[in-house]
Order: sequence, then structure tokens, then C-alpha cells
Amino acid sequence: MKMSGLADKAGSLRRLLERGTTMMGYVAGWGFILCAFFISFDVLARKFLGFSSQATTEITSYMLALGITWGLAHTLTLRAHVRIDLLINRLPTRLRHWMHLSSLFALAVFVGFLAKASYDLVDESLLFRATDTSVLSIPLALPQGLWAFGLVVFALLITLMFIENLLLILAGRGAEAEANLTPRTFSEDVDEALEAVGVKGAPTP
Amino acid sequence: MIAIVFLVILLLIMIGLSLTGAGPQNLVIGEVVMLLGLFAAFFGAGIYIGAALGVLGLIVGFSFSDRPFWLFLGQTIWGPSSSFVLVAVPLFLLMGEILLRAGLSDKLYKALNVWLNRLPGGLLHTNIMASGVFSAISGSSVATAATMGSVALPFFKDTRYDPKMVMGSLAAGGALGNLIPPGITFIIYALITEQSVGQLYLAAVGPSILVVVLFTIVILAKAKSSAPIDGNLPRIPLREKLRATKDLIPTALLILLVLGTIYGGLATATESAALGVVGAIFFAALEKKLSFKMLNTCAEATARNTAMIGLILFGAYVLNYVFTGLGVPQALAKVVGELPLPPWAIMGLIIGFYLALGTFMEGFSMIITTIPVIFPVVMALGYDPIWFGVIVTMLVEIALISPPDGTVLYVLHGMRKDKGPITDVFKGVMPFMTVYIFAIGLLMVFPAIALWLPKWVMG
Repeated sequence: MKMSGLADKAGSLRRLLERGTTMMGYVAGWGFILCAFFISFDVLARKFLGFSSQATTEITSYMLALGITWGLAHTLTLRAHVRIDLLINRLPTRLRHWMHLSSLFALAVFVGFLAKASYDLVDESLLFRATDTSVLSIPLALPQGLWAFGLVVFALLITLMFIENLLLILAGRGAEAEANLTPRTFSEDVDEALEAVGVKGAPTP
Repeated sequence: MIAIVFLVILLLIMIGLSLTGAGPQNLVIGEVVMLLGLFAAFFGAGIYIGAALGVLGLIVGFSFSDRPFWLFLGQTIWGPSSSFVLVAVPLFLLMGEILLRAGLSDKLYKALNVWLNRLPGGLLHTNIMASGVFSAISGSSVATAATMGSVALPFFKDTRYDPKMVMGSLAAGGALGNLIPPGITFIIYALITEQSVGQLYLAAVGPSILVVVLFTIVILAKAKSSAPIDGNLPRIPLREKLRATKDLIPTALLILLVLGTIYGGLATATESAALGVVGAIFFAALEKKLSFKMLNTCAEATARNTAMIGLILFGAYVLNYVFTGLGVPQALAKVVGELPLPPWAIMGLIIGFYLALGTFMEGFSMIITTIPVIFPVVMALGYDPIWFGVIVTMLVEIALISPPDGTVLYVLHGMRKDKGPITDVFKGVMPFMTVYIFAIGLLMVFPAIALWLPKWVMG
């Protein structure tokens, strides 16, 4: 019973963090729209007006870096990171729950390393006052810091999710853990594509 | 199931060769088998693909590398994160999302149909051609299939077309999305192998035409049994045909904007992708489909798919960094080079390996995971890097339409109103898949199909 209560606490904490990560996901997406206009403007200005920001390549590259890492956590909450679930779907229920958790553990280890590595990179750039070679001489620590922030938040979310789902499984609520972690199915992807083109109520496989 | 059998056979061949002494002398086969086993175990256990690659990299690094490799991890993943070439991926994804919702495809389909409906096979040709043209503005196969499917299927209502061929031709059309430039697969391939996106797009032209021609032949061959023969179809006057053709103008302009600027050397792939996004937003606005809500949905989907690709790229770059430090790709290339097999046989095995993998693995993950290791081998065999990029893209496309897991097939199935069985789609796509594989065979025999254009352009 105590386990169950703790799991709920971790769950509400996770949902709180998720609000932030969803926002970050949308920021990443709108960043790409901004990139498109920025690059287009630069191409046209270069062609017809004879000038260029001369930092477009750098700035949009940094926006990509931010876009990738700020979208990572959001993608995890939507269960859209790719896993091959061919085999685990055939395992007995209890074992399957632990397999979901172990895949989250592997993700935690990997992203933990990445978050630490990105933090060190920022630290190094600060130490050497490194700047890029564009006309703006942007200090690298700035884009790298924003990029590293995405990874750190991602690592935080994974940790929180790991604790929550571990507690859920221990409390005998493995089905809920599975619902949190199981990868997106084909039919979810298909539904999304169908909704986009305006077909509603279609049968799913 | 066939896939797993094939993979096991491949492994057995490798072990067999090394045991008989025909294979590599200095390679510790145990380590290789252990690594492959670890790989298989990770994937089988349903570990996130990015994490599986990354953790494997960390394990290998900590056990075999005597250098403090972790000090360079940050730089290793900052590289691809901030690559201007890679900016093209979210931009093309974004363009695809916008076009999916922009409503251009309806007019495109009708305009093409006016010209094609009297050919034997009728509307089936329109399916292929409209998908082909749409592919030239969209870099995504699923988007192409979803868009064209939603437009085309109503036309088949209450007709005597064989539903198998209808679904098959639409799926086949979807499988042109990534092959016909601009495609996202090419950008990722170019990033990992440090090739030129422009050259890859040039090399894709020949094979694209080849595949479209082969699809057309399939439809002509099946026309008698699968399309109604209707001699009384009214001949549409030329004036009306031309009037319908003006509906092609937005699509033609977008093609000019995206491909014209790349091929004309006016813009890099990333720049033309940006122009394409702005163009797509403009035409969506003309069609009165543009809204904040629509753009917001597009932004979210783009961020999600970019992050999905990003995590796998991070894993692959970490693993590859460790592998390169240990000289694994070079050693593997040497080993394969010493195998008592001719290069084309090894290439055949590689292609078989991708076809097998494609039945259960998503296309992008497939190439990001395998290319860092397989590319050096292919180079050591003496194949052209641009040519191989085209082959790999075609293999990814085949993966998307190969039963029982091809995403495109389920998208189309989901759109059917007559609630037929999914096996209809499976059966319908088979002839197209067969000629697609045949096209790969042709490319192996005549690499010039892909390579003449880049050679001609580069002088």
C-alpha cells in the first residue's frame, strides 16, 4: 500500500515535469518553422539584395541542436522513441513489465552519460571562452548550454519515470507501468496520418 | 520469421567460414559473435534503439579501449547536433506535415487523371503518377501514401477495379516518396558517410524513372484482369484537358522551388528545404487550410520525429566513435575483403540482410544503425558510395511496403471504406515489391543507371 502511494506521488511529480517538457517540444517545433523563414530570407536576400546575415548557417545549426534535445523528453512521454517490441510482446505479463523497466534503465544509463558529457562540453567552452567562426563570434557555451539543458531535462524525466514505474511494478500495478512505457503502435501512427488528411473513424489494424 | 531465419543463416555462414579457416586469420571470432549476440539481445529485449547502440558503445569502450574515450563524448554528439546538413531533415519533415494538410493533392490527382484515364489500367496509372509527382515535393513515404490514398480512394468507389491492385498501386506510389528527390533518407546517409546530398539527388533520378516505368509495366500487364475495360469513356476535349492542367501549377511551382534550386546549384539541400517549407505554407494559405492550430500540430509532429531520429543518431555516433577508435570498421572491411566470395555475392548478402531487417525494423533506424559499420565494408569492396546510397534508400522504401510490417500498407488499409482484409493489401503490393527488388538487381548489373547523371553534371 505504501509502495502504491509513493508511486502516485512520483507520478504526479512526473506529470508536473511533463508540462515543462511538452512546452519544450513545441518550442523545438516552432524553432524549425522559424529556421525555415530565416534561411529562406537569407537565400533571397543573398540572391536579390546582395547581402546575407553571414551567420545563418551557424544560428540554424544551433537551433537544430536545441530542437533535437528539447524534443527528446516530449517524444518519450508520447512513447515515440523507437523500440523493437517483436519479442517482448510474446513474454508472460510479469516478465514483460520488468523488460519495459530494463529498457528504461538502459536509456537512463546512456542519457546520463550524454547529459554529463554535454555539461562538460559547456564547461570547457566557458573555460576557453570558445566562440564560433561566424561574424557574430557567438560564444559556443550559449548554444551548447541550451542543447545540454535539453539532455539534462531528458535525463531527469527518465529518472523520474524509472522510479515511478519501478514503484508501480512493485506495488503490483504493472499494467499501469506498461501503459506508460509500451512503444507507440502502428495503429497510432496510422491514426495520426489519417487524422492529418481528414479521414475520421477509419478502422485500425 | 523468414527474416530471422535469414539472419541466422548469415551468422552461420560467417562462423562456418572462420572455422574452416577460409575466413580471417587474425580476427577473434568469439568477440564478434559476442558483440552480435549482445546486439541481438538488446534489440530483442525491446531496448530503445538509440540506447541500445549507446550502451553497447559504452560497454565496448570501457572493456576494450585504453583511452579515456568518454572525454570526447560531448564533442562526438555535438557534431551531428549542430550540423547544417542535418537541418534539412526537420525542414523536409515539416514540409511533408504541411503538405499532408494543405489540400494540394486533390487537384493534382484530378489533373493527372484527365490525361491518363484512357490508358489500359486507367486510374491505377494515375495512382502511380500522382504519387510520383507528389514525391518530388515531399521527402516522406508515409506522407505521400497518406495524402494520395485519401485523394484517390473515393475515385474507386463503385468501380470494377480490383481492390488488391488499387491498394497495391497506392502503396507502390508511396514507396516512391523517399527515392524521388528530395528524400530524407539521402540526407541522413550523406551525413553519416560524408557524401554530397546534391550528388545523391542526381543519382536518384535514373532509378526513380526506372522504378516508375517498371510499376507502369506491372499495371499494363495486369490491366485486363484488374481494371474495367470501358471503351465508352468519353473523350475529354483538349481544351478541358488544358484547363484541368492549370491545377498542376502550385505543385509544379513547389517542385521548381525545391528541386530547381538544388539542381540549378542555387541552393543547398537545407536551403531548398527551407524554401519548400515557406512555399508549402504559402500554398496552404491559398487553399485556406492554414491556421495556427494546423501549424502548431505540424510543429509538434516535426519536433517529435526529429527527436526520434536524433536519439538514434546519438547512439550510433557514440558507438561509431568507440568502434573507429578501436579500428573495428577497418578490421571488418579487411575481413570481408579476404572472404573467398566475389564482391557481388557479398553485396547480394548485404542486400538480403537489409530486406530481412526491413520486415521488422523502421527504415531510418535501420540505416542509422547499420550504415556506420557496413559502409566501410562496401567501400573496401570497391563499390561507389553514391551508388550504394541509392541502393540503401531503395531498400528502406521496400521495407516500408513489405508485409507484414510495412507502415505504408497500414496507412492505406486504414483508409478503406469497404473494410476488406489487410491481406488484400499484402497481395496487391507483392508484384510491385517484386519489380522494386528487380530494379535493385538491374542497378547492381548496370550501376550507370544511377551514376550517369552525377558524372555528366560534374563533367
